[in-house]
Amino acid sequence: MASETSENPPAAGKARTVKVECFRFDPERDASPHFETYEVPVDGETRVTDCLEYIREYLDPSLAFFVNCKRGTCARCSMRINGKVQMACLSLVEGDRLRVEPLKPEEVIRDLWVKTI
Amino acid sequence: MPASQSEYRTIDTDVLVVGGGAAAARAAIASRAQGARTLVVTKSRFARGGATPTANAADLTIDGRSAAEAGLPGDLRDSPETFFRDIVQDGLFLNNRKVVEAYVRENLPATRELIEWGMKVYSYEGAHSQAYVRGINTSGREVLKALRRGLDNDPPEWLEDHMLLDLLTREGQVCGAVVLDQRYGGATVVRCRAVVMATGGWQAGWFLNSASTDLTGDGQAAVYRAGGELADMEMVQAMPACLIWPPSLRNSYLSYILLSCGLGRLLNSRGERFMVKYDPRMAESSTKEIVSLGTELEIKAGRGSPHGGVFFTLEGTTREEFEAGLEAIAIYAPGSVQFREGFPAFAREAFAGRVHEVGNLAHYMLGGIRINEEGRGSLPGLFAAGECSTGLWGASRVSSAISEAVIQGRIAGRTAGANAGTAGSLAPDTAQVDESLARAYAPLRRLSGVAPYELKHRLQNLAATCVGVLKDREGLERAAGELEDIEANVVPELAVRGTRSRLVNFEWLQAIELGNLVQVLRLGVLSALHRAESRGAHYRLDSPDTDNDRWLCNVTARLADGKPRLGEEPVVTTSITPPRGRMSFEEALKVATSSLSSKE
Repeated sequence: MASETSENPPAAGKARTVKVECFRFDPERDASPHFETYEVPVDGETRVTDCLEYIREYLDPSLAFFVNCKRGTCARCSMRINGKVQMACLSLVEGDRLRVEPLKPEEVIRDLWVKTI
Repeated sequence: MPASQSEYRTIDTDVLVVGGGAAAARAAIASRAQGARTLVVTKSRFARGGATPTANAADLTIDGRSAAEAGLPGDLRDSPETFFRDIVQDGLFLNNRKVVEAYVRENLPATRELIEWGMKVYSYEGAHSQAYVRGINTSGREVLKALRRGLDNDPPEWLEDHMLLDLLTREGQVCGAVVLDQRYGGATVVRCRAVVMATGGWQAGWFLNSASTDLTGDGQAAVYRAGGELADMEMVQAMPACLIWPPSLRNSYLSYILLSCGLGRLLNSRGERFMVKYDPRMAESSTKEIVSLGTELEIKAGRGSPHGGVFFTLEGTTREEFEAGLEAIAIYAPGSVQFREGFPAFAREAFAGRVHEVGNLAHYMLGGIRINEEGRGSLPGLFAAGECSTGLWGASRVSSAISEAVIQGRIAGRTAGANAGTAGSLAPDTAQVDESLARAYAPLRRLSGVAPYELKHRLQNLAATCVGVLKDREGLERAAGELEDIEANVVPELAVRGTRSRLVNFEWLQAIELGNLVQVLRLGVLSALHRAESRGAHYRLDSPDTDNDRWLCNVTARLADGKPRLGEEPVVTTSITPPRGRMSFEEALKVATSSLSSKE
């Protein structure tokens, strides 16, 4: 409720930049999946969901992923993070590269969103 | 009747339940038990969504006597009547007494069922400042697991990843709803005899909030657009001393849990332990309201932290105290990955000397859809349960919202299910369907306009600045003007920028949710302007006293002639005579603080 807000875009003073390689696929429009890379400014310990939300809110609003409970209970943000299945809301961004892929590529509705989660 | 212009499929049912958490799940069970065909529509997964999964510590409350009858340790000195009295006093007498009576009366059978359905109880424990032990320590997840077991006996139908767009009415009676498939973008019209709203609050209006992402005021806004009555919309409860920095811990209340165990201190930017100024006796252990206010007053005076809060430190805590605190908190661990993993890591870092930034989160919406003790709303065929309703807590909630969800779901589902047997089935008005769908699809079709995320940021800035813990006439008037303009001129211009795909297009879904958020935030602002006093969760810097002679009433809001119209209704009172006269905010809260107004 305080004045901490999402200034537009909140990049100033960020300590580092993370290259996020993101699986993208719209089965109705694309012949095949591809990866898109975004540069996300990061300051302090940051979760993967924060990075993805930054992309959607400031860089590319077309990115499809879902976050619900934000605290490791609902598992709806499950995805492959650097090859490992994890909940994005509990995963910290480490290093300067991040690769995110859907849980099951064969079940993708769009991007990181699959039928079974 | 003209044929509809839009494409949609139609489903018939008796009772439509909207929501994905405990209130919706329990309402569906109750409705099925009445023999009613029941359909659940939820933005998330059924009986896995809403705010329920975010609940972790002492998740249910029940009076000691009923607890003993349910087979828990209990306390025979306590009773439902005593619990009733406490809820009304804590709510500063704005509670609908009949709704509170129903809550304490049905707590025992509702809790018993959860235990029968396999809900694990980790411990039975007391919360701070309560005279009797009333907390059942389980978890929101356990409650949902038990409810899914309850649902298995006689399951309803459900549509997951479906968003409510609008209620449909005919001659003032609710007869259906329009819903949107979030995955593939198609629309469905549900024809029904009753709707139970169980959609939670509108915490998404604030960047700093403690809720899950699906709480965007959809139910309240749909009821408002359909002509139904809302109340107490000015009452937004904050959770103080929650983590806001670093981002990896943002919106977590682990720091608050430590404080509530007596560990840790809040400091301003000068390194002063400011809470001793506001409550010399209790300091950080004061009530949530006082800690929230003290924090905001420091921020307002320019003594906040870089990211808009204050500082939390464990400096001064001995290792012995720290380990004892961790042990006390470990009882919550089985129900929560946050408590198992995140908490010890955070606490040890803090103990090693790291200072975190903490602040107030928008936590619980006390206002919402006005209901009676049977869960009936103001329109025939409309019912509501849980956080999206209002009446139970009055101006402040200190007992469990998960208990509220379960008990009120049980009540509203039962009434709606029984009602469905007698209500006629009215054919929805296709003009209403067309209008709803035209509004919903417009942002997807519009070629240029306002980007939804820009409006989201604008709204959250406005909410943080003018509709936070500290309110005053000037800020509220500015917010009211801005929200009126946004509703009239910005929402109708929202346009997706990223993709026109209908497949899980979150920018589009966001645009629809923003329409709801704008309406409920606006009603909150207008109601806060109207209530020119301070009471519980509602604090006006320009009217800091609690005035029982003028304001022992519920502020209502409804749509009339295309505009919000506010009103006042006397509080439904059975027993307990409310106090008279004007008293200071702290006196009303029964907190022995030095005056909040002597803040400098």
